[in-house]
Amino acid sequence: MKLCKTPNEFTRASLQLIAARPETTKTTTTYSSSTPGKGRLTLKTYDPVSGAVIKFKTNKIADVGRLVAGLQRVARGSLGLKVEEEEKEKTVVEMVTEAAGAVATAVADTATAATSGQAPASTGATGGGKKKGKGKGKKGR
Amino acid sequence: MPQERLSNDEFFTRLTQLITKATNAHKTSVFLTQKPLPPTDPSSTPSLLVRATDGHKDTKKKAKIATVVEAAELEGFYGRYAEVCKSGMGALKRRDRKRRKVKKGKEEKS
Repeated sequence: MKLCKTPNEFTRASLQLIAARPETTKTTTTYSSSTPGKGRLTLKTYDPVSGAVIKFKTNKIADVGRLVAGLQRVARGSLGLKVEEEEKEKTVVEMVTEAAGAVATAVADTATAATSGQAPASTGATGGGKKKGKGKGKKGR
Repeated sequence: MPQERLSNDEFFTRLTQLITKATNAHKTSVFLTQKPLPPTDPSSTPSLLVRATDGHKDTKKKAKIATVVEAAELEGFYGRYAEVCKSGMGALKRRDRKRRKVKKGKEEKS
């Protein structure tokens, strides 16, 4: 049994299992209600023939949207339809680091010695602040 | 109680009822399944069978609903499915707490 930690991981693993066994694999969603804030949502993709199980648990309502989108892609896989690329579903963190990386490479390509010192400073979120300070200090000298 | 094969719209109405009932009751569950349905006509593409039940122990009281989704209807179906789940599943943790913590953090810093 594979216990996934993110909705994307669950979707990706489920799609792999479905590609291997499209006719026997099925996905189950269980909404277990309790007092507000303590309910659980459990998703399982399993194939009874091979015994393979992919599981995902959450208690956040924010995951529901992403999971249903994942279920849609899984359904497309079951029916043998083409499944869209995952790029659209990247998390915010991944998008930020990617954008920062793209900015860094773009700046580095055209940068002079002075501005290349600033390029690493502009990337990243928390580390950027400290580096900017040092960069400005060096520039003053 | 035998399974009821419904249209997509009817399925969503009943599903909303099942989910809301579960959320309000605080202790119930809703079980949803999706699997490919082999086509009766071998040349056509398979469609998706979606089932829901409240898992009640008493077979007479158990609610079982099902619907078939064609490949072309998938996107519309799942769009509505997402709305039904997001609005109905009140027992799950909301995002507001994160916002409140962030606000509290900002207030503390200032």
